[in-house]
Amino acid sequence: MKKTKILVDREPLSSDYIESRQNFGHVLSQMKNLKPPVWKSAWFYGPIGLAVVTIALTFSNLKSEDSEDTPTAARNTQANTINTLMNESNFVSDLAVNATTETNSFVNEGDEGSQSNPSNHSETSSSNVGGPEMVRDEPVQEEIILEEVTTEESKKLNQFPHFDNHFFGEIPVAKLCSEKGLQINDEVKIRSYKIQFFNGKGDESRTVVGESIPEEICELIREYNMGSMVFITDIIGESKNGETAHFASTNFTPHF
Amino acid sequence: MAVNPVYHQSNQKLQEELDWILRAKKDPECFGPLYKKYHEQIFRYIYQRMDDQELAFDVTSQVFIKAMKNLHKYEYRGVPFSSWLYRIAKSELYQAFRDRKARKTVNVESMHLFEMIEEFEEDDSEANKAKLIQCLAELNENDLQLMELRYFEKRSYREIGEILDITENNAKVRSFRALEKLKVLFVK
Repeated sequence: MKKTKILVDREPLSSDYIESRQNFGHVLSQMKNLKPPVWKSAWFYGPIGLAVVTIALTFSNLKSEDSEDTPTAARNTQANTINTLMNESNFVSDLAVNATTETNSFVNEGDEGSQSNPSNHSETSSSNVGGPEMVRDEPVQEEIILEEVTTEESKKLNQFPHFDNHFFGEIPVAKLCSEKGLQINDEVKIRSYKIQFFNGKGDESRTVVGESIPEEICELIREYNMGSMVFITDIIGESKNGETAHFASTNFTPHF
Repeated sequence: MAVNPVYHQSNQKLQEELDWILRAKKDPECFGPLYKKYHEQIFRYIYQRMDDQELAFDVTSQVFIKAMKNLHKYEYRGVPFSSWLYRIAKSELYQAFRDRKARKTVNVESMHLFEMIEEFEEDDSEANKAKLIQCLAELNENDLQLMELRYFEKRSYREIGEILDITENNAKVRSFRALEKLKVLFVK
């Protein structure tokens, strides 16, 4: 960077001269003709968005593959088995009901054979009793389904790093430099990440330990990076179980 | 120390300014009064730090274009609108130093230099003036900025705080420390 030039007693400009150079019409037309920055254009967000979605899908698929080895799979099998049993028992009870109806109608018609064979009736009754008994198993199935729903909900936890719900793009510098810092979700705590920014001389990359960006970096961001991108990469988080995981990189454009 | 009358305003003036801002948020053409009010102030801030007059006018225009474009993000915090404009100006200045290869400049008046020499209790000779200029060039960017704002542009601590996005007290402490550093360099 060039050394600062010090000028002594430069001829001052008069207020009238400065006023004569005012041109609000020009500023207004320039503002209207201003094109959005590259990172706001559709062609940029197309591929970038696609890449983000692909990464997200890959990430969630990997997660679900890992969790398939867990007891959830066993519970799914159990639930399927119970469902099959339920269907069978309903079928059996339907049959039993039909059989009873038929038997009753037969009795009404005065068939003594059916009356003289109570064991048949009792068998039918027992099979009839079997129906309600199996139906009583229903709460068990409900319980399992509820468990599955809970598991699904836990999977929906946010996996993308964010500063106060700003996931990428423009962000007020106060939020970027807030004490809360980079977050993932309640289950994961940020351990470290790299931040790349312009320091007045060139691009600088620093590793941040913890969640919040140190004040010294914030000052450089306020000084040199307003309106230009700051990159957050190599994000490492730690779950409550002590497991570490890497998270998708992101970028922000701080503004006032 | 002189008080910038455009910066330090009555509540009534601030309210009037807020009305202009709200109108300009709906219709950019209503930004005119704000442009007229602050153009000179922002230009002088930029030209103070630049050698090239035309480029300074150009950067000033950029500041207002950016301000109009981002006006929807502006939130009134009880301080003059100019503090927001100064921050944009600062960012645009650095961008000009970076992208347009503009030369970073500090403009000082001999009178201010002699005032400073007197504060250091030294003789106000030409030799000491030259020495002080040399010492100023040795200061780091942040300290030099504080010296400019406080001692060459004669701004109040409150105004410095609002421009630098720090508290008034912090501005006072930092300015004092910067002056101390300069003194150490000068008497060495």
